[in-house]
Amino acid sequence: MPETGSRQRWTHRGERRQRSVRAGAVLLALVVGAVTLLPLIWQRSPDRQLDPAVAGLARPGSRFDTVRLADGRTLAAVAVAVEVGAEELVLQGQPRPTRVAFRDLAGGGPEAGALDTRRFVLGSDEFGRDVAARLLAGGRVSLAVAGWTVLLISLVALPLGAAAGSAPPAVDRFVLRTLEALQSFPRLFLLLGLAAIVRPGVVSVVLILGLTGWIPMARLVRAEVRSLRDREFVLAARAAGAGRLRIVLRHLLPNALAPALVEASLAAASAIVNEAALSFLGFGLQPPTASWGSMIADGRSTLSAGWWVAFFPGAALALTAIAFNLIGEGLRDALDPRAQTPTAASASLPEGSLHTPHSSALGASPGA
Amino acid sequence: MIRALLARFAAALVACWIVLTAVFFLLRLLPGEPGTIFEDPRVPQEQRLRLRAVYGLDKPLPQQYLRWVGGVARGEWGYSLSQHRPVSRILRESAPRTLLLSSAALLLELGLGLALGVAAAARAGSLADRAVRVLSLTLWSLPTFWFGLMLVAAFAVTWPIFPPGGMHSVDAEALSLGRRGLDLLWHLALPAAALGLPAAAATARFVRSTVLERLAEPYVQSARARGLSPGRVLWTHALRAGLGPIAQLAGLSLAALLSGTIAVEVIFAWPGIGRATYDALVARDYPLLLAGTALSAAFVIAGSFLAEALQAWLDPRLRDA
Amino acid sequence: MVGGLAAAMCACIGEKAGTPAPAKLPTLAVGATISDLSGVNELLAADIQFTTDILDQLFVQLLSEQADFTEHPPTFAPELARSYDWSDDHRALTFHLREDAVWSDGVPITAEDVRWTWQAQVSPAIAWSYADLKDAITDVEVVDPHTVRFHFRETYSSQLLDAIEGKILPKHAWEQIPFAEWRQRADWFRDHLVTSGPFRLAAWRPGEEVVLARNERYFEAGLPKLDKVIFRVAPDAATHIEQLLAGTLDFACGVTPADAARIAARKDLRIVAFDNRQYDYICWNTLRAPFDDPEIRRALTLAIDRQALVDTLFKGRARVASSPIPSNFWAHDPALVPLPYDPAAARRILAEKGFSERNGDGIVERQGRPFAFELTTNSSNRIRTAALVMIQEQLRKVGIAATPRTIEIHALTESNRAHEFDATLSGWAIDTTLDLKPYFHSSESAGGYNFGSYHNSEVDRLLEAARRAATPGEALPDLLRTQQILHAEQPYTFLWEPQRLCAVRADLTNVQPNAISAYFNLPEWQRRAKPDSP
Repeated sequence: MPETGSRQRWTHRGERRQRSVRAGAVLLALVVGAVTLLPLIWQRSPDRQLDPAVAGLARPGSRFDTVRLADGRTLAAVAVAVEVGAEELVLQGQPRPTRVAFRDLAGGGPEAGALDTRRFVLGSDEFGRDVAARLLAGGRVSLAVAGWTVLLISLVALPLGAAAGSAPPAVDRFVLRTLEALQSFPRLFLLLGLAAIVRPGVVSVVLILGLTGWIPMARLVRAEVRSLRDREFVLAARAAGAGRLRIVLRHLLPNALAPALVEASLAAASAIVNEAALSFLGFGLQPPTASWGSMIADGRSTLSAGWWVAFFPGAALALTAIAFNLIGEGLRDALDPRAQTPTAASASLPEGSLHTPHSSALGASPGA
Repeated sequence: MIRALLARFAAALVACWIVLTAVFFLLRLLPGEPGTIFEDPRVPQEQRLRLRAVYGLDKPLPQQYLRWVGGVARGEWGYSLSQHRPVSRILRESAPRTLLLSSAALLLELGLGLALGVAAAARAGSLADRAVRVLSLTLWSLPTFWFGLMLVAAFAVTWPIFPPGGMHSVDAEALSLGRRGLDLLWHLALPAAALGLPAAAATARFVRSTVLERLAEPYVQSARARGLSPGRVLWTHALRAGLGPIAQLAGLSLAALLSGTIAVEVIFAWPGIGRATYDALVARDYPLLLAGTALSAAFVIAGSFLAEALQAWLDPRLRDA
Repeated sequence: MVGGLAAAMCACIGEKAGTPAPAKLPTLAVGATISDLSGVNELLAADIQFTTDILDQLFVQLLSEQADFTEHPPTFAPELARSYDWSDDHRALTFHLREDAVWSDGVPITAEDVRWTWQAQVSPAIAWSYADLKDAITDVEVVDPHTVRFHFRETYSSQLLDAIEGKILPKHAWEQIPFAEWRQRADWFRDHLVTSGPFRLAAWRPGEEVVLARNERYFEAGLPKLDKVIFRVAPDAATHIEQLLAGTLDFACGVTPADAARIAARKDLRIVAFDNRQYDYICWNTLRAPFDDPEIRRALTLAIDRQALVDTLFKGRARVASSPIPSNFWAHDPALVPLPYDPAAARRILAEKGFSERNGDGIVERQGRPFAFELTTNSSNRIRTAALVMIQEQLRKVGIAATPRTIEIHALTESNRAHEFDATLSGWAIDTTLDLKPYFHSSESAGGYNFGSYHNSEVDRLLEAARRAATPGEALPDLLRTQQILHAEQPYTFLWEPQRLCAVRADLTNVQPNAISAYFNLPEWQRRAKPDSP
């Protein structure tokens, strides 16, 4: 057998996979770092509306001069001019130039800090809110939802998968059949149905995503535990008189953790996309809470007037999903090159079917 | 093999039933009244109660459930509270449209996925391979609904090449049959792309790795040793043996495609089951919501059943076993 | 390959759209609608605006209400009835029907149809939503084929309105199935549709389009002027805008103020704006302190900059509201001046009522409890959602912490009716009966629409009196007094009266939407002879 060629390819692949994990980790670190650290140095409220008549749907990179009035309002202008000798400012704006007397300014005059400039790096939405600020705030929500969802999934799937894998074959088969059957349900229909029932909020979205998303990981852990239970070290432990629970906890589960980690990464990608889908369809996080999904939903109605409102949150979402997928895929191959090899001898896809976009809600979005 | 398949099929049906039952009861926990007819301040309370009675909504829940089950057993899915016509009639109209959209997407997924996957596998490690891998990872990670929106923004708004939504042009019935077909395809292009392209990316990745694994297997290597050309080895041996899992993937991706149709149909104003179900959800139209969910689940189960049967038939080792 | 094929296709279709077909195109108009038609039988269909609009075109009524409610109580134009007269005791109302009116199948429309329609309207088996409007009618008598007399139990202000409410239904076609089966077979009527209005339903593809075509048998000669009007169903207003800009739509109503600005800037499109008999408000739950105090509610109104909300959210396409009777109504009290935006006055009232800022968090307290509450609205309304955030910021400036919360519409209505809220931002559409009882009468607190459980015995008395007045005009003093009390006590903070905006292609003329229907004069719409090419 021409072993050499084959091995060469594996080594080549191994390196590549490591690279992909590294690339994914860097990407993820960038996204997480941006949404958590940037707001520390760049404080801008995601809900603050800057004079929408002038600054609504401003293109990415636009700059406005702002004028704070004594009554607390903020006016925006493309440019501000002071007329010589006159006690007033002239604001060049979209609808028409407006004039503001000095005495109406916060602090009583233009020198007292009433003037400022504001740049919308990623543009503004129709209400004059900063897309960049919302992107950061929404990212924190989206990432938090993904994190909590994966935690919930692991808490459900690990014990259940381990229990099924180490259970008598009849029970195991029954559980497997049930999981397979549940998995054949189009998930978004289920998600929407559940989302309509509960009061929308971060907690309920996490619950819904978690409780409908644990099956792939449970199947994976079950398969792993099952394949390990007849291995020598387990048999040896059993011969040494170790109890069933002890064997599961000490020997089987730790070995199943690595593949579960792969699954967790892919589940995170799936969670972040599904949260967005729910919010987009109006059944996830509700405004004014910004998440990437609800931002895309907001941008839907102004799509023909300003593509950037929907574009940036979606791009951020895709980047994050790519990062999680890179990590998940890379890890899987690093851990077990055979995991993605569907051997024709098994009548079905590898259990846990890492490759299928099966349980993910929206088309071929990140598999889980 | 067949018995195992049937057992799985039955299990899927039972699971589907359990989920529907759960949805039936959970929906009734929702605050607020069903349907749009109940939400007008000018309608007095006693009239609302009378309407509830007319639609049987005043009966105890278990009784309503039994009535619903009885109806379903007779093939009657009840009466839509928002569209005011039998649910079965609504489904008869919308199901073919959803099937059309998802088959177009499936075709795109398989065609493009197979072609790109095999091409990448044939030149593993090359620049083209790397391009396919990066592209497919990106596409695969895109949220379908956002991808759809961006397609609209690009190809219906900025460069208006395709219509932003709908199934037909305004005076489509005045066109000749051939023109109408073209018109339909024209409207189908963007939603099918939104649904099918990310799916094609996933398929391409799967096909690529499957074919690569097959190429490394002993019998393929021996075929190569017998002097078969690389192309022949690729197409006849590697791909053929890999078709089984690929067929199964196609069956499974039907579930994902159908889930995806909800958002895509909403974005592109495509009047299929996904949109009907979504509208029903918004309007609290329980009978339509349940039926739409059930029908899409049935499509998925049928799809995976077909795929597994196809796989069993395609894979020589399984067939012989 | 797919791209190539698609490009080839759009080439041919683009060419088709670019060159208007010779005779056909000028008489066709294409519009958009968010909701589909919910049925063709008025008694069974859901009363959503679009369905009402279409049924108005398909069926005639005895008289048609005119949109002149700005000047005086509405008047009525003859439609199926040429004229009407009252008996001396004002309890019998006789309509004289046109003799030339026929159904779309050629059968004459007679007094029998009118009587049978009334029977259907009050049938408990059909359970028409508005059957209670006919409560005071004891009989509808067929005097002769073209004369019909309504008998009333009592005299009251909206007798005429109640009598003419509802489309006249085709007895000969629809009496084939008994009333008891109507609800279960609502789609039967679609297959057995016989109509009487200026348009007939040429096609209805649910979820896709509703096609109206000229009814050649319509009794008004020369109307409608358009041969065909197509309403395309697109569930998303954004799609309408995209299609308007792409040139595949001729009109769409319900355009947002932001989109209106862009459309108005285009040469081939224009915006038609009209008042919509509608207002939005914040309802304060008077069962929960401190909203039980009219002075506190007044302070809240003073602290909300409603002009800024109107300018920002509606780009000026709305007015600040001050009363449950919108300012363009004949019965609106012109003496009412909306409370100004005056945060200083609001702070003064709060201080008088014992609220003060002690712990430095910027929020005022009373007896150790901060003035904090939840402000809800329905999640599907983008403008209201954006308003919540602005109001939150405005109230913070006087030391009140409002937490915005958006809820799905059904759940919101449910919690509002159960009085499980602090404050809620919502809106009402008002009809010409100007019956304010459902919203402000104390008896409507349980199960009705008096969400805030507002109670004022004088208002109760006035609302009942207004209902009993012999004519709408006689109810005016009661309505004025009610408005003054509501203004003084602020059970609602009245926010704005939005305009409704329609985008219309430039060559579509004579488009005069009004508060009754955006398509009120649809039969008179015309296509200018030489259409601008899209």
